[in-house]
Amino acid sequence: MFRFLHAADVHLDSPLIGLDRYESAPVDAVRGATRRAFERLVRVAIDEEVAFVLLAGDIYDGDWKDYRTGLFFVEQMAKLREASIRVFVVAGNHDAASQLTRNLRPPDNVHFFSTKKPETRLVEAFDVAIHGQGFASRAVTEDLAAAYPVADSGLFHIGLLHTSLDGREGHATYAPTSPQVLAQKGYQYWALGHVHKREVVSRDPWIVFPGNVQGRHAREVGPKGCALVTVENGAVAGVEERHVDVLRWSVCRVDVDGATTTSHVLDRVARSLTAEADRTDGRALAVRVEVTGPAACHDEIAANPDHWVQEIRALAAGVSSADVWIEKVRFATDRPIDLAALAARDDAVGSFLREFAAAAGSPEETAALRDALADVRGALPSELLAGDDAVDPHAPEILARLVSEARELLLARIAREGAAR
Amino acid sequence: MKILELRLAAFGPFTNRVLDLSGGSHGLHVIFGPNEAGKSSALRALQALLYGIPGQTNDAFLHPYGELRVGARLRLSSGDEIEFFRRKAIKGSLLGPGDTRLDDHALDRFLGGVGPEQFRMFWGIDYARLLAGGREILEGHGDLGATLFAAGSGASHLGSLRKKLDEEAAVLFAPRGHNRAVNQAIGHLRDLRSAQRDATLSADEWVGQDRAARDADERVARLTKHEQELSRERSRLDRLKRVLPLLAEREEMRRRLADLADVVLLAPDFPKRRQDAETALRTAQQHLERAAGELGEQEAIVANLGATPPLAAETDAVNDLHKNLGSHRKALSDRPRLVGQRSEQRALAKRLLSELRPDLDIETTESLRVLFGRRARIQKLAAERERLDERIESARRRCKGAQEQAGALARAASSLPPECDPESLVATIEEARRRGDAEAEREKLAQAAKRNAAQRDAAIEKLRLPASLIDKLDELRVPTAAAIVRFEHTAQELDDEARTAKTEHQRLAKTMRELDAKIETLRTKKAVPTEEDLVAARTRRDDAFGLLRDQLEKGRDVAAEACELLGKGKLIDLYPSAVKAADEVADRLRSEADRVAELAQYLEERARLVTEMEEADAGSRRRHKAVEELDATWRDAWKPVLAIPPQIHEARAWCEDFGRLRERSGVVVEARQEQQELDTWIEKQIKSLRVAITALAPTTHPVGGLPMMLAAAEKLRQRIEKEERARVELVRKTRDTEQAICDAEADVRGAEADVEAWQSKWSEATRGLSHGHAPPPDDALVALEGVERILRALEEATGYQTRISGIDRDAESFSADVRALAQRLGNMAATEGGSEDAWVEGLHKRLAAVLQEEESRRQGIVRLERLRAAVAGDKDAVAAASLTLSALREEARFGADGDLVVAEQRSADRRTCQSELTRIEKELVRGGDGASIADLETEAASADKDATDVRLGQIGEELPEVEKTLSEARDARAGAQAELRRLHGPSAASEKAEEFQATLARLRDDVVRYSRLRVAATLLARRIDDYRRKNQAPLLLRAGALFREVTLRSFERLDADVEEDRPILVGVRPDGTRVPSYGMSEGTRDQLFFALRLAAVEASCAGGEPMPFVVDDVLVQFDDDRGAAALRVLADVASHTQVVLFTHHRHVRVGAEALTAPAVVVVHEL
Repeated sequence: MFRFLHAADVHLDSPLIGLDRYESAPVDAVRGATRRAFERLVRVAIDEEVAFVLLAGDIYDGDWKDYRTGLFFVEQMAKLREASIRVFVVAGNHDAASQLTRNLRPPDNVHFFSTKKPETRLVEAFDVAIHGQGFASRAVTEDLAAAYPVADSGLFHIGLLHTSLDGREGHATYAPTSPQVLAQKGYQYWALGHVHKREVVSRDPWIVFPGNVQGRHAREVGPKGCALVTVENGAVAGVEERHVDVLRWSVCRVDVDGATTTSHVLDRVARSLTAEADRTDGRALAVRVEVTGPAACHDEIAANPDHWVQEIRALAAGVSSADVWIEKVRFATDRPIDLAALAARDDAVGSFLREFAAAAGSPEETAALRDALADVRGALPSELLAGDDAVDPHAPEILARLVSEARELLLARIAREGAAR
Repeated sequence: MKILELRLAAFGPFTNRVLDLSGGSHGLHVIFGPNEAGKSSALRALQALLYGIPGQTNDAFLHPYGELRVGARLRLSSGDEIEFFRRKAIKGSLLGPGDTRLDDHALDRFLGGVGPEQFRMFWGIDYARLLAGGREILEGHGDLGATLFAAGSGASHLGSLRKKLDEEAAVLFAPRGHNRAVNQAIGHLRDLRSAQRDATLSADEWVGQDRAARDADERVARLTKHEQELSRERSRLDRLKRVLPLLAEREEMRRRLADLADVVLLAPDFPKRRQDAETALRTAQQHLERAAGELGEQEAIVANLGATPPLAAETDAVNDLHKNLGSHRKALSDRPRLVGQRSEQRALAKRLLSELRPDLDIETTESLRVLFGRRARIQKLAAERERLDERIESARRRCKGAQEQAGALARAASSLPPECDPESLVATIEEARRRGDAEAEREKLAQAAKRNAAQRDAAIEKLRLPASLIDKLDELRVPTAAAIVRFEHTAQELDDEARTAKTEHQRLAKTMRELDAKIETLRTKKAVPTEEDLVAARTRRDDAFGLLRDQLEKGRDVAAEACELLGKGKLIDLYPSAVKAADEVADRLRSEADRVAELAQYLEERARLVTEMEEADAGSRRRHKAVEELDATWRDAWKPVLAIPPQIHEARAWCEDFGRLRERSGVVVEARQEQQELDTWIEKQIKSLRVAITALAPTTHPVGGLPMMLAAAEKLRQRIEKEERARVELVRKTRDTEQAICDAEADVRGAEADVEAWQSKWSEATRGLSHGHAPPPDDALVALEGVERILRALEEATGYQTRISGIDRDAESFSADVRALAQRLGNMAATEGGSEDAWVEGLHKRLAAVLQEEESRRQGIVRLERLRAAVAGDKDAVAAASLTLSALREEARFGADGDLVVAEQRSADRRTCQSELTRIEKELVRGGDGASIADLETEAASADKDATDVRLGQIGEELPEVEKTLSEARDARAGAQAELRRLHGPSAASEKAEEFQATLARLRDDVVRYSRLRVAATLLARRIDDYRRKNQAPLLLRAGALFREVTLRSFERLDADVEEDRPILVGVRPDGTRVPSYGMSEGTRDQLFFALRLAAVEASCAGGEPMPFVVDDVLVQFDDDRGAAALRVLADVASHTQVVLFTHHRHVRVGAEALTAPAVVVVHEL
């Protein structure tokens, strides 16, 4: 019996995205999160006395140039060397693009597989053969696995590969292949990387994406870590999930149906946050709060949503002994009275809503709004004009959302005379 | 929706207060409450009623939170009604009849989507908001759009809202700002990007640093090696210098040791052992000599002492006798006293026995011991007898007491009044009470009748019916509803026609004005020729030609005609000008054909318009006649009822009111009948009560109304019932007393039986205690004590006897021991004659002397034995010392005669040489840096001793140089390694990247916030503009009319002007002067906003289900005339929806009461 550790997508020193450092934010609790998660990973390997460690690509972030990151990796590898643990690595798309991989001298317990052709390494002590090939360039579009050798001995065979397999949402298509191709090789375990969400693709043979070791933004929610694989009598006896993340991401949806006052809303948010924080095993928590449902206090919130974001952030600082970082608060409450009913009234508010509906998306109105937002748009850095979290105010869908939010803001402020004074 | 009734069941200061708001089809309801009357509470109650009682309220000071209730009856215009109460609760706050829970959404249909804020804002206005609206007009420079939107939404804070949106946005971003959040963040991002670049450690930098560290390491290694070689050589030469003299010394010592090779090495303690042995021999010989002398002397002393006397062997016997002598003598002296005490106790026993049982002898008293054994039983029986006696006594006492009480009860029974039956009285009282407080009910009925009559009279007055018709209401022939509808229909048609005609007339007049203007314009520009002009010009020309021809052909004087036709001048001149004029007209007709045609068309149109207007006028006259006819028919229809009929459109309301009046009249009659019935009933009850009272208490003569009669009857009933209760109580007590007598007698009998049983047990127990019959319990107990004393005296006498016998026995034993001793000592005679104790005394003294002599003899023998042992020991010691000396000689391998001291000297010499050699070799090893002596000898043999110092000098100079260089190289290496270590550790670039992302996140939020505010501000402006464009005309028209009314025609209407490219609101005075709204006085601005709000509310009523319009004391600052006008206007609005006006100003109330028809105004006082 022996055990080995399988991890991937470490992305050392890549920053966490979307965390505004507001006053009570637990900044220190999450500093250097990817490094600390990797340290935990190494600790697990040593404590569990694993036979070897497999890293299935993307140790670094592609355009990251700081050599200190590479030195940190070498230090961690040296710790494994002291514990007589060998490490097998294939370069991923990010590593191929990284300048760090080229100049670094890892300790002799670390083996980087060739990027030119499949290569096989034996771990004689455990009768194991590990096959692998790294990425030579950022975009590898051919099926690397197809060229891996077919298992031809009584050893325990492992395939180490960085791949998007047959396509995974949110991940670029690199070294595409299929579970069938992998199965045909006759290996007992395929250690894959690239997809950040943990997934056991197959159990015969075992094809496993361990996910990344540390979530880096609100789309990478839930526990993160590595796979601890136990091999008995030449077969996989178990694949255990080990969490090494330092900060956990989650989306906390709070239904405030029936809440009559903002105190009720805050109470429910606090309860949800406490429950969420209790699930992190003492880790820091970065949470996106989505408040939904019909609420009598809708107008009070809609009149000044920023104020309530601050309230929830203040709340988060005290709900739990764990560090809670409010990444974003999205208010999607409904007013208890139907907008259609309001729009049917024959007064200025009714007219206001009807005109809103009539003018929505009209070229004239769109032009007026674009004109009003042209100044700020011109000043924005490129990071905010494209990508998942872009806020280009001229983009149609963002403009539509702004109009909808502005309508709620106006309705609420008109209704709440003096509320915003 | 209309509020028919507002029920302030428990709210603020109100308890079960009901406001009837049903008057009028909608009605203007003025709720007047002076200060502290609860006006504000009522206003809040209205809001709470429709939208719930808020979590925190000031209206729970009288009724606690849980009991707050406000209710209402509401009606939709469809006729649907709901009746409910609102309580304070988050869910289930609506209650139906009987406190059943209503669905939380039961009111939704009645609210028609109007939320609490909107209800407060749009369907209500108060003084503060009126002022705010006026102020906004001023601050917004009369902006038409904003003013209309404010009036149309009820939001009087639009200006500040827009300002606030702009301010909030400006805090976040300004196109050319630096300190705004967004601008700052963008700058910070640039800085962070550059900082991250600076903090990034490049691969080249690392490789260079790594190489430098390695080079430094190698240099240090090289230098270290050289330094070590030099050091090694220096140490070898130093060693040589150290070991050469030592090697020479060693050689010398080894030679001396060879000379001493055959000398015996003695142990280091040998001299001491030798000296000890010689001293021991000497000492032992001296001791032996002295001990032998002392032994001879002691043997002579012991031989002189004699044999031991026999008395010494009897030492224990003599001592025992002498020890017992004291007690022997004391016993003999005690004996006579003990004999006396024994006789005393026996005499006492005898005397007591003779008192108790003279029949018994002192020697046979054992039979008494049996009695003593029964002592406990006798005591128990005696106690039992005492209890039995007490029981009999107690039972007898109870029996006597009960008998006395029976006598007293019999006397009390005889003193009660005779029994009587109150049943008929009770029935009469119940009957009289069946209707509760009939007098109060009569009073209530009377008041209700009065109130109903007053309301009926008021209604009659309101309907303007003569008072004489009060009792003939049912007979009155009021026009039927169908007839009224017909009239309404006709009137409506006529009205519609008139409105259409008016519009048409206005249109025609406007078109006419426009046509006239156009014609005027055409004509002003240059007169346009017409066909008529051409005809006229040609006629003139032809006339001139005719005259000219007559003049030329016929010679006729045509001057006068020419002058008449053509004007002054000569015909000959006039003709060409006429020809020219006709040609010109013809030319112009041709050349200005368009303008001509245009004018012709205008003129034609105008002619048609004139005809149309005439037709319209005819139609108007026709309608006027039709209206007059309708009016006449209407008056005819109403003649039987009213001289002056109501307006047609009010007739239905009048009829509804009349219907209610009829109902109310019927209620008045019914109430009156009910009151009479009640009076009769009360009289009957009084009579019945009087009869019933007299029957039971003939002496009383009750008078007064029903309550007094009832009180008297009740008093009598209570008295009779009290007597009855007393009687029942007496019977019960008598029965209890008789039972008590029986019980007591039974107890006496039972106890007496128990005494009999006791007597037999007693006889049994006391048998033998006295001579004859059983004694009474007290005597028996005394006798028992006597028995105890006899037995105790006899026991004491027996004790004395035992001690006397013991003394006698001991004296006998003592004498026997003395005699036996005397016999052993062979001196029997000495014991005779009773002088035993004196003999023992003497013998004891003699024994002391004998024992002293015996001790001296024992000590002499002991000393003799010790001296003999000492002599033997000294002989052994002399032998042992001699033996030791012989052994030492053997050890030194010395003959018996040799001097052991010489041997010791030679051994010491050899030992010194050996020790010196060892020291030298140790020094060699120590100074030889670990090399063996043989190696050192080899090294010394091969060394060039003369060159050593020279080489040492060279090394001494070279080594410090090398060490210095090495130290510098080590410093360089440490620096390079430190630099390398510095490159390890946390990545500053990564920290900057994280900060970059954090800043980006904040920037993203701020951009969204800024964009949202900008979009809101833009859209608000656009919506305001939309609203203005769509509603400007109707709102200005209606609001203008209301404004004219409120300002008492100081303004005629409202209009829009353009100022600085934006439309503003202006008021137009009757003389056409245009006053910008922001230029109006403060009061007038308030009135302007008031008029606009009312116009918007009216418009909204037309658009859907109207809500009640709640007005809170807005007329405070209106002067009397304008206040009255405002009330009229509100009454006008009340024809569209219910208006509820709260006020605490009496003049407003008075003004409202002074309002005349058509509005239905109801004043309620809190």
